[in-house]
Amino acid sequence: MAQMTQMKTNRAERGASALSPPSICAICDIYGFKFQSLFFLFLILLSQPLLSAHPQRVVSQTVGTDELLLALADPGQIAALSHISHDAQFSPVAAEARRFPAIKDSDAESVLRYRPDLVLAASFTRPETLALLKRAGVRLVVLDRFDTLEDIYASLRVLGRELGQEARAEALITQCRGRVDALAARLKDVKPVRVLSAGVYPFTSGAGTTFQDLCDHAGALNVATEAGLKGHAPTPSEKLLVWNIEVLVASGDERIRGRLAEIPHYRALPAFKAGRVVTIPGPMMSSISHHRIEAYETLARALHPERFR
Amino acid sequence: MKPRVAVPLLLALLALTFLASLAFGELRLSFGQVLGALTNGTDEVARTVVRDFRLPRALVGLAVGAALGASGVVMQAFFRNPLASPGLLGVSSGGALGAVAVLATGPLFGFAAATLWALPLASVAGAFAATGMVLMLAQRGAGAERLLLSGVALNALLGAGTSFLLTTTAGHFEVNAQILFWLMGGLESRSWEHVWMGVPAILAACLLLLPLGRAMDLLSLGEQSAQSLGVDVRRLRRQLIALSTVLTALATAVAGIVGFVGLVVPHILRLAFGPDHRRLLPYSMLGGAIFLLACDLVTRTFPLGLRLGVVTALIGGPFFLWLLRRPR
Repeated sequence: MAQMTQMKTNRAERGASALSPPSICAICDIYGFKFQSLFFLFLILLSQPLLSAHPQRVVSQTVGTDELLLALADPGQIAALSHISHDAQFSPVAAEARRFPAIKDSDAESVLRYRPDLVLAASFTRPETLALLKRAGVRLVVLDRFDTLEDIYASLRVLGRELGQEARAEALITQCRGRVDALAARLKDVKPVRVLSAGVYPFTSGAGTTFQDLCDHAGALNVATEAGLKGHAPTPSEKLLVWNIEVLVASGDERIRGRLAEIPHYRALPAFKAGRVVTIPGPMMSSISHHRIEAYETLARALHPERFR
Repeated sequence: MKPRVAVPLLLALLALTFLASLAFGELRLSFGQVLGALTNGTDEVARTVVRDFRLPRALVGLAVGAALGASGVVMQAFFRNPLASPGLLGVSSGGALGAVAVLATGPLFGFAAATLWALPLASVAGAFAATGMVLMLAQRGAGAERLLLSGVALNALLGAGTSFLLTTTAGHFEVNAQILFWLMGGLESRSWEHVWMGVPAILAACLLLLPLGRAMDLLSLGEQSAQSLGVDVRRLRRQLIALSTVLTALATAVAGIVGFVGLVVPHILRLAFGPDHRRLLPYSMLGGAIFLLACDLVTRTFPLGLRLGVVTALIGGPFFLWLLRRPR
């Protein structure tokens, strides 16, 4: 049973207004009834989002929450997406995201500039930013589990509830389950291919990482996990030679092969010499949303082409 | 200690650390396997590990250590200041900034710009620019304090440049990781390309430096005394600064910033064998190589991926403090 996504929410603390009663009275005394009525009209307008049942100005602070928000929200509910949402190097949904504004930076001020009624952030958001957003009294949903698909489904459900889009969330989950089941059926009883997460970044992925989740769904055996590595651990050099690696899986495009060739411990591997390097676009590989399924399918297709004929 | 024991002692220690560098690593190889790998052994894994991983790493470490040791001696003689070192005066920061600039702009031009040879060239250019700047800044008077303060200011300036490039590439994890490599120094993943890139030029610069020992001794008496004893001081200073910069730049280019070697090693050897530069220069080359290989052995046996620059600083830092507190 997968763990449910834990949500940390912060209820709006809207009790304290910036304008205290004496100052309102003073203004009324000076400008009379006309101003007072305008002022109340202004207050009513200001409180509109509060009266509405579901948020209408959602700001997403991370790329992962962009992906979930775009999948569930009505376009009218989205006020802004993360600061790197328009960059295809980071976001698998950059083209769609360009229809919406992107916040200038990832800090609290950039988020609050859009006067959000709901902010989506993640546990890896800077703690200062989270603290400032909480202090600003804005409703905040912080996603903090992304390891497995069940975690992502739980996030989709929570977000669906927040946005009033429960049906859309359930439909997406059903669709995702269908794709994963179809992939599992194709890969039934397949002999797992021994893979290693390789890159210029001197770390590899062991147990409890999104890469492990990718391997679990794509008919791959992560040799780093087999050797007992947990999380993101420094890539060994000499040991790689005895791990019997069949395929290197790298995040990026074809240019990554040239970069790996400069690193002696990859260059020496029979798998590398034989050109057995699978590249998966970075945003797809590191996605913490349902878009991860595309990475499963890409890797499975590359490792077991005979099952896709 | 008597100088005549120095050469055999240092050579023995160098041989020991070099052989240990070939013998120890992630994979446990027997002495026979290591020997077999170096000769005509049939164990494919041992051959690759020893010949393609450990041997180039040890050769690069040896050359970088020798370069930094020699460069330290030269800097101290040049400035007639025991606290001068390539790192303190910003030369290696300049080298790192040059290398980091190439790495950071790599994604802009496709990764072609960040290939193996662009880095050392940029690093050498950066180191020379830094040397030029520190000499210019401290030209008038050239007192020790003025020089060191100029070095501090330049280090801060170059560090800011590097930090700026680090933040502009924050989204590119692999570029960021490579930049951090330069800042913390390290010998892992060194290949034969790095050997060809660094070792011959470092060797040449060291050989050019060795005959200057006597003139450096005379320079330590003061510029005017040296001049009156027949030393072309201006020419000597030009040679010294050029060779020392080349050595520091090449060391930085193939191993990133490795601090404290140039400071610690000459001081230990000066304490042990006296201040004669004719001896101190070759001793510091050997001593630097021994120190660096030993520190690299610590990094590969320590489980948490300790960086070389961290180890040399952990040993060098306390020594520097002791040096400052020592009664004169």
